[in-house]
Formats: sequence, structure tokens, C-alpha cells
Amino acid sequence: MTAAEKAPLLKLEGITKTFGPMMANDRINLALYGGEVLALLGENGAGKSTLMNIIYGIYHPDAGRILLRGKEVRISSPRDALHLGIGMVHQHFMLIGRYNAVENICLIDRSRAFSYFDKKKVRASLEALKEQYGIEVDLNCPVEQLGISMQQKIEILKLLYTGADILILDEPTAVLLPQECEALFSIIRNMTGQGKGVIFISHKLDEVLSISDRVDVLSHGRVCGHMKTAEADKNQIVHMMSGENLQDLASFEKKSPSREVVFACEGVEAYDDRRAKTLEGVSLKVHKGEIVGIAGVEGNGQNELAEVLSGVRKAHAGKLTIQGTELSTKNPESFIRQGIGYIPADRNTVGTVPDFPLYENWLLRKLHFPGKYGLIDQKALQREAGRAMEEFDVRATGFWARSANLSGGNLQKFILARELRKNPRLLICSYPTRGLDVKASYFVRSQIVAAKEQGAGVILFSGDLEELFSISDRIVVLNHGQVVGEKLPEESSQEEIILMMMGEKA
Amino acid sequence: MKSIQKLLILLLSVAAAMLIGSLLILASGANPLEAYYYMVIRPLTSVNSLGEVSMYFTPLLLVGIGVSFAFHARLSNLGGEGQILFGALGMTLMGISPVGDVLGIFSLPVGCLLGILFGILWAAIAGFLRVRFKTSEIVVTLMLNYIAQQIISYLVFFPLRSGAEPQSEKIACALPKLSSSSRINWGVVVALLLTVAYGVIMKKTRFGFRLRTLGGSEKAAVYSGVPVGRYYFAAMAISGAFCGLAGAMQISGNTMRLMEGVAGDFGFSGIVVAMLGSLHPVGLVIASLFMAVLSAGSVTMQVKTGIPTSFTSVLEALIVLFILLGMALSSRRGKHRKGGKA
Amino acid sequence: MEGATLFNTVFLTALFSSGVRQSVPLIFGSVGDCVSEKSGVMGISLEGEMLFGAFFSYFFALQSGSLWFGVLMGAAAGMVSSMLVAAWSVWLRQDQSIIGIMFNIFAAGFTNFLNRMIFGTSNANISIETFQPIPLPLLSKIPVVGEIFFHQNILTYLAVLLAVLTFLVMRKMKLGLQIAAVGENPKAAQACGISVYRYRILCYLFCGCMAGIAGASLTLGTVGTFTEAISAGRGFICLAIVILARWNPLIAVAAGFGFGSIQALQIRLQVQGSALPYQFFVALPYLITVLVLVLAGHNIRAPRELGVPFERESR
Repeated sequence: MTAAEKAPLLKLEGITKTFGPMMANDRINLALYGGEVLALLGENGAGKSTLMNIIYGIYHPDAGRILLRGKEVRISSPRDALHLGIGMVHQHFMLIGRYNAVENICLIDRSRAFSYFDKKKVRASLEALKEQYGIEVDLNCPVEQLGISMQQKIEILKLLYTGADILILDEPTAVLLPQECEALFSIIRNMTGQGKGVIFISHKLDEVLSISDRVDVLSHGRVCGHMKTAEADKNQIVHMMSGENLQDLASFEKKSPSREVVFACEGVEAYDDRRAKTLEGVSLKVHKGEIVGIAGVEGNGQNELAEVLSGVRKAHAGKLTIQGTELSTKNPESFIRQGIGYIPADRNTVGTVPDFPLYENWLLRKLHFPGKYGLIDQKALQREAGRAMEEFDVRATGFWARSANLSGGNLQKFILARELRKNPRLLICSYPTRGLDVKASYFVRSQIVAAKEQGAGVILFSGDLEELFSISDRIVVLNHGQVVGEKLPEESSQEEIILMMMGEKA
Repeated sequence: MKSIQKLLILLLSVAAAMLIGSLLILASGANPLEAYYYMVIRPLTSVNSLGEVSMYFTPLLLVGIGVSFAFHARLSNLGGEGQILFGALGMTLMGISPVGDVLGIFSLPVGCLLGILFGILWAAIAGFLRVRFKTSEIVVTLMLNYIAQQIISYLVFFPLRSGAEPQSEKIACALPKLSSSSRINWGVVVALLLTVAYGVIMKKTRFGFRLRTLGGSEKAAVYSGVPVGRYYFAAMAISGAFCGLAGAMQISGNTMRLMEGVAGDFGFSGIVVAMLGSLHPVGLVIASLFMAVLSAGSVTMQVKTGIPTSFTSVLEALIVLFILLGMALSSRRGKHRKGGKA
Repeated sequence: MEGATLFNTVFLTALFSSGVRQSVPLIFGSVGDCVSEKSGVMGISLEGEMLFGAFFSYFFALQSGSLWFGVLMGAAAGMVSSMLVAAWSVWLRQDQSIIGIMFNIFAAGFTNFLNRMIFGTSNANISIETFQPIPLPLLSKIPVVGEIFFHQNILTYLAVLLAVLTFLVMRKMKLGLQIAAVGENPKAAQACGISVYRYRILCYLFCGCMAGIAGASLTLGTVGTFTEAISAGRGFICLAIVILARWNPLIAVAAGFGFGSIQALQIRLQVQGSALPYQFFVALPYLITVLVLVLAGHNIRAPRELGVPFERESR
């Protein structure tokens, strides 16, 4: 590597950023050289995305300096970042769904606002870039109709089009097939070959080792290690990333579930909010004391399925049965009444009302309100909520605290307490550990396992394959709103599941 | 937000609005102190003028409660005026001959009930369209105001007209007075009792809780099993019921006849009451008292200083805009105490 | 007999010609609202800005004796007042509809107040000479159509011209692409280096400016004086037009003409007398507005983030 001898392209010094009580970045130092790939490794919630959004001008750091080619710069908006030659592919793509690739990329063009929107010119230069980097993508179709990997290619094309020489890729491989990853890597190598510096964010270790020149490890908002990839020790990195918890993660004991079917659905069909059909004949069975994990690339009908099974969304067709009797789907409340618990993916505006104090949030999904003559007994309610908060270790200033002021982990514990207190027959968990730190995730998983051990059936939607493998008894794969296969975790591998998620025949 | 902070914002907003108002008064060549004296102090100085204040207080409070019900579900009922007019129509139909003669003393309660029903019906149109077609209740309720105005206009010009003026005949039975020396009547008591009921419903019942959930986050309401459509509809209908009752009392306690403009500005002022009282029952009472004083006083002010009564709506709107400003600034300060230049 | 008088050419020509005049404020308002809604801000306060425009254009035209100066000041008044709304709703991220409602109350009260203070309580405001029709060469000679469309005052032509220009900017220029991106997905727009706040505020100011001209076209184009609440719900009719037009300024011109014609019909039938009470015709435009919202308002694709405040550092 000749890179290290040169002056760094980008240097961060003491970057600090807080969100309310949470310290997302704590005095971070980092350097990126031209012609290299710097990998930023870290668990969910370690502060990687926050740091990148600071470099890209979306967030403003509370303290710290950014130096570009040795000169201090102020990046107060993405516009500044683009002018300085910094480009970013976000984890959640920043594309306008209605626009096609050409229109999307034209938005980032340096041309003036009051100028003729020259589609032909943009298209021509895009065709050239496509050729140069070997990217195959449809330029004419509205991007919302394209698959996720296509959308990513458009994002990368956008990045190349801006001519940026500092490129940030935030979890770019999360949505890709193994062979697609290879293609991406060759594009990245092509970029570094031209002297560009690439920051590659990931939490997948193997991948990072194969593409990067250097690795920085982030944990709890701090850089806790940096090394050259060539000299990196895998075990050491694992330890740095997550500390002691990685062993615990895998240590959930599995008992074979009973044969009794607690919940079944047959031929469920449903539409999404835009009236596009997203579920096409999904059938599932959940046994007593079993966790059924649902895997799938995001947007393949998981949200709709979770909502239909919990009664939040109306199914267009299909039959639901709970312990052998047909489930009455008259209204969402009847689902609650029949013992279906639901942990929604969105904790902040679905799982709770952000402006309510916790004790009022305790009343959500409650069938019997404490009190007489139809009047709520506030004291009894507060006692009840307070006790449950203690039991589930919800850390808040008290039951008066507004749920908007709670951290994600505590809020999730609160919601979990609310659902588990009712001893549900079926518990549906939609991305229950998303965005939580390792410790809170572990707590949530162990509570889900505890619920199953008490005889509940659990349907677990998750984007985290490790989570699915560690706690589910069976993994069902969803693709384009259909069940494409079913595997036992001990007889399968992550690679196999990923292939199924991508729609390859099992 | 802490309640002390909230109260401070409210008071500062009133002060700031009155300050700007006094600039307007100065610009128009009058003395602000004198104008504000007639507007704010004078109405409170005699039993007689207090009775006048009560004529504004009752409808303001009722409409304020009605609007608050809608606001709790995050619906904006701008149709107060139309619903008041229909409520007034309900009372009138029961109060004038032939029905009024038959019902006698009962025309009062029956008229109020019919007024409530009419108010519900008129508001239910907007509620139904919102639930069934997702049509913006804001525009619909407003358009319904214009339509209601024309319907009432037609009625008082043609079928219900009595005499030379475009107005109905006098209704048979008035709201009983509280004291013989002023115009204050039992409507005030009814309105205050309903405020208590409103407070209990919102804070203590399952219905109120679910309505607030709906307003706090629609998705959370769906998640929590609330039949969202029905609740939206109910919020709108109850809102209409209170406005309808306000209209019925406007006839039976104030004008005694149906005529154009019987709804006054109460439809919109009710929104200001709801905002100023921040949907809290005690707040609503204080806010409507304050606004009633302003409204009653502005009439005297117009006579004595030449400042038109429309000055009150300028003042009212300014107060609410300042409240919103204050809330935004204080919540912003709470959020990014240190943040960059954001 | 009535049928015969209703549908002869003379009547229809006069009706639609008046319909075009009535449509001018609606076109200005809805074209402005098309742009601001595309950027994600609802024009609930259009009504109030129209009132401001109407009053100040009348006032300044009367003082200066120049109609054009009046129009200019009307536009300025609309824009300045919309700045208030933009600051509250975009920058302070308050609920757009509540701000709009309060602003409308404020505008109604304030213009009313000024009117009384300046011109006294009597309703007999001084009338001024309105913009006179300018027949367009050649085009106005076309029978019937020429009389209806090309024998109008300058504001009418200006309205159509601005609608066409707006259409071109929205469709053919990068600016239009950026504005729609802001309303569609502000986060993505921001990541493309677009300042969401700046775009939304500027779009809203444009809308306010157009609403101001709309108000001016009421006082200086048709009525010739200012009366209280002269806008009479037109701001809200504009909102319905925008939905009917699917956020396309050119269709908004056509839809505006439709609504204008209904208003003209209403006036004519009131004067002419008919079997139905005149109140029915006065209520007609409002009734149709509701119907349009119900029938045209669902199953459409509004700008995705319409009415949703944007926070820069949202997570």
C-alpha cells in the first residue's frame, strides 16, 4: 500500500454528536487516504451511520473538526459535501420513487436550477459511466418499480456521476446476492484504482476483510480499534465489536416444540397502502412453544403479513385459525381479544403514542381498563404500569415520562411488557431488535424465548439472519409476498437462506 | 412540556398580541389604553354588561368544546358556523307555530335536542366524507358553512319569513333567566356542566382515551384496536352536536328569531378558544370568558373610539399565532440544546 | 320559454365571457398552489393571502391612480403575508392547516379592520375604473370563441401566460424536477444537495404572490372596489381545482374556467330570475367544490409528503 505515505484525503478529529441523552459519536478520529478502502465495522447502533451523515452534512457535529486534504472545512449541508467532492450511498436509498434513473441523477447535477433539464446529455454521460464501470441498469423505468439491487446500482451511478473522490457506502451489501456483492466489489476496486477514497460500512466481518485495506472498529460511538486488514485478527475484531455478548447470542437453548398447532393461516392475500398486491397466498403454521422466523429482503411483504396476522391490516382473502377455531377478523380489537400479541416494527408512533405519558401508553391494546362505572382509575393504572416497568427493567424517570423521551431499548421493553403481561397465545414480533444496542437486543430476545417457553407461539420477523438462526425453531422465507421455502436452522446455512430470499429455488 | 411553561407561553402570547394590537390602535389615531379599557375592563364593571358578556360566553364555550373534541382526534372542524346555523334552525322549527304552540314549554328541550341533531347531521357530512373518501374535512366543513348560510338565507327570505324583515317569527319559549337584572340565562350553567362532562370524558373514559390516542398517532390507534373510522366520525358528530346546541341556545337565549348572521363569528372564535384553552376544560372556560369579554367590549369600543369590532379577530388570531410560535420555540430549545446552526 | 332564453348564443357568449373573468382569480390562485403543493406545502392560507392582495391592490391603486402599481402592491402584500405562514409552517414545523386557519382569521379581521379605518363604515367604497378588455388582434375576430376568450382584460392573458410558464418550469426545467423531489421525498432531495427549507419557503412565497395577484384581479379586474370577505371561499375552491387538475397548471386553467363559468351562471341566474331560489345558485360553486373533492380526490397520487413538516436532522 502506497496510500499511507500520502497526506490523508479526509481526516476527522474529535467528532462528537449527541441526540438528546444518547451519545451517538464520542470524540471520533478517523483518516481516509486516496486509493484505499477504509472499512468501518460496528454493531447496529454503534454510530456508524451518524458519523457518515456528519461527513455528508446531514447532521451537524456538536464538537470536532473535519479536514479535507489538510484544510479544515465546514460541511453544513449535503450541498457543501457534494461541492467538496464527497458522495454517499445511504443505507436507505435516497431516490425519488416516481422518477427514473436519469431524472434522479439529474437532481444531483451541478447545473443551475433555472436551466433546461437536459435529459439527453445526462443520459449520454450515464451510458458512458455504465460502460466504464460495467454497471447494467435500466435508466427509463421509475425507480420504485425496480428491485433493490437495481436501485443500489442507480445510487452508485449517481455517486460516480457527481465525480466525487470521497465515497461513502453505508451497508451496501445488506441487500445483495453473493454474486452481486462480487460485482459491487469490482466496481469499488475500479474506483480506488482511480485514486478515490472509499469508506465502506458494514457489520459483516468476512466481507470487510475481503474488500478493505484498513479497518476501523466502532463500538458505542467510539473508535475502539484500527488496523491494517492484512494484519487483522478476526477474533480480536469480533471481541472489539461486541464485547462479551456475542457468545450469549448463540446460547439460547432450543427445545423441540409440541405438535399442537396454535395458529395457522391459509391463502392470505393482501394489498399494501398503494393498493399493490403484496401477499399472494401465504400459508403458515405455528406450533405451541415454537418460534417461526420469517426471513426476506425488506419490502417482500413482511410488514403486510405482520399487520394482517395481527389484525391491523385487512386481508383481502385467507383464513386464520387459532387453536383450531377460526379467528374472528371482525375488527382489530377481536384479534387482541383472541390472544394475539403484536410488537410492531415502529416503536415510536405505532407501538406508543409519543406524547402520552407511559402510564397512558400502558392502556394501548388493553381490553379491560382499571376502574369502576366506566371511569378509569388513574391510581390503579399507574400502579400497574409502574410494577410492570420494574419487572421488565424499563428505565425512565417514572410512569409520568413521555414515551418520546425514552431510548429505543427501554421503549421496546415497555411494549414487550405490555404484550407479555396478557399471556398471548400468539406473539408476532416485527423487527423487535432493530436499532437496539447489543445488550437491549439480548434482553428482548430472551424475553421472546421466555414467552415461547411458557407455551406461546411466536412469529418473528427479522432482517438479522444471525438473530433468526439463534432463536427460531424454524425459518420461513418470504419472497414477493409468497412463502418460497422453509428450513430448520440447524440443517441450513445463512448462505442458503440468502439465496432463497433472493428468489433462487431452494 | 411543563404546564408552567405552557401557561407562561399563553400569557406572553396574549401580551404580545395586545402589544401589536396597540400599535394598530395608535396607527388609527386612538388611544390604546382607552380602547383596551372599553374592550377588557368595562364589560366587567356592571351586572348589565356581564349579562352581555354571557351572551358571548355560552356559545363560545360550547363551540370551543365542540372544536376541542375534533382537535383531540386531530380533525379540524371549521364548520362551526354552519353547524350553529343548523342548530338554530332546529330550535326555531320547534319554537315557532304550529309546532311551538303544540309543544308549549316543551319546545325548549325538544328544540335543543333537534338543534343538536341538526348540528350532528351537518357535521356528519364532513365526517362521513373524511372516513369514506378521505376528503379533507377542513375544506368540506368550510364549504358547508357557505352552503348552510344560503340554506338559512333561503328559509328566512321565503318559507319561514314573517313580516318585512328577512327573519322568522319569534319563538314561543325562551331560556329562563338566572337573574332578572341582566340577560344572563341558564345556558351558562348548562355550558359549564357540559365542560365538566367534557373533562371527565376526555380524561377518564375509554372513549376519551381512544379519541386522544387517535389524535396522538393514528397508527397507534389502529394498533391498539380502535375502530378508527367510527371514532373519526364520532369526533366530528360530537363536535357538531355542541355547535348545534350553541345554535339552539343562540336562538332561545339571545335573538329569539332565526335570521341571517345568527351564528356570528362563533364558529371561528370557537377554534381560537380551543387553542387558547389548550383543550383543557378549565382553560376553555377561561379562554371563552376572555374572548367573550373582548367581543362584548369591542362593541362599546367601536362606539366610543371608532375602532371596528373586527379588531378582536385580529387580536384573537395573533394570540394563537404567538402561542404556536412559543410552543415551537420552546420544544425546539428542549430538543437541540447544543446542536449546530440547524 | 325559459329554455329558449337560456341557450341562445348571445346568452351563452355573455355567460362564458363572464365565466372567463370569474376564473382569473381562481387560475392565479390554483397555479400558485400547484407549485407550493408540489413542494409539499398546502395552501390552506390562500384565502387570507387573497384577501390581503385584494385590499392592498385596491388601496394602492386608489392612492396612486395606477392599476398596475395596485397589482404590484397586491402581489407584494400576498407575498409578505405568505412569508409569515411559511415561517410558521416550514421553519417552525407547525401544523400547516392550523396555521392556515389562524392566518385566514387574521387576514379577514385585519383587512376588515383596515377597510373600516381607512374608508369608514359605509359600504359605499369608492369605485375605481377596472382593467378594460383588450381585444387581441385577429383572434378576437373569431365568432363566439373570440368574444369569449380573446376579448378580456390584461390580467386574464397574464393568468394564462403565467400558467403556461409555470407548466414549462415544472416540466422542462431542472427547478421543476427539484421542487417535485422536495414534495415527494425531502430526505432524498436533501441528500442531492437541495435545501428543502429554502425550496419550500420560496415555493410558498410564489404561491402567496400569485394569491396576491388573484386578490388584485378581484378588486381591480372585476369588482372595482374592496368589500369585506371579498374572496368568499375562492382560496379553498383553488385547492379543489388543484386536486382536480392533478397538480398540472395547464389543467388548472381549464378547471378554473369551469368553476368560473359556474360562478358566472350563478350571477346571471340571480339577475335573470328562475324557478329556483337564488340562494341555490350562490351555494352551487361550494357544493360543486365538495363534489369535486369527493369524486376527484381519491385514488390520486398527491405529492407524497404533502403537508408533512420536514426536520433537517430527523433520524
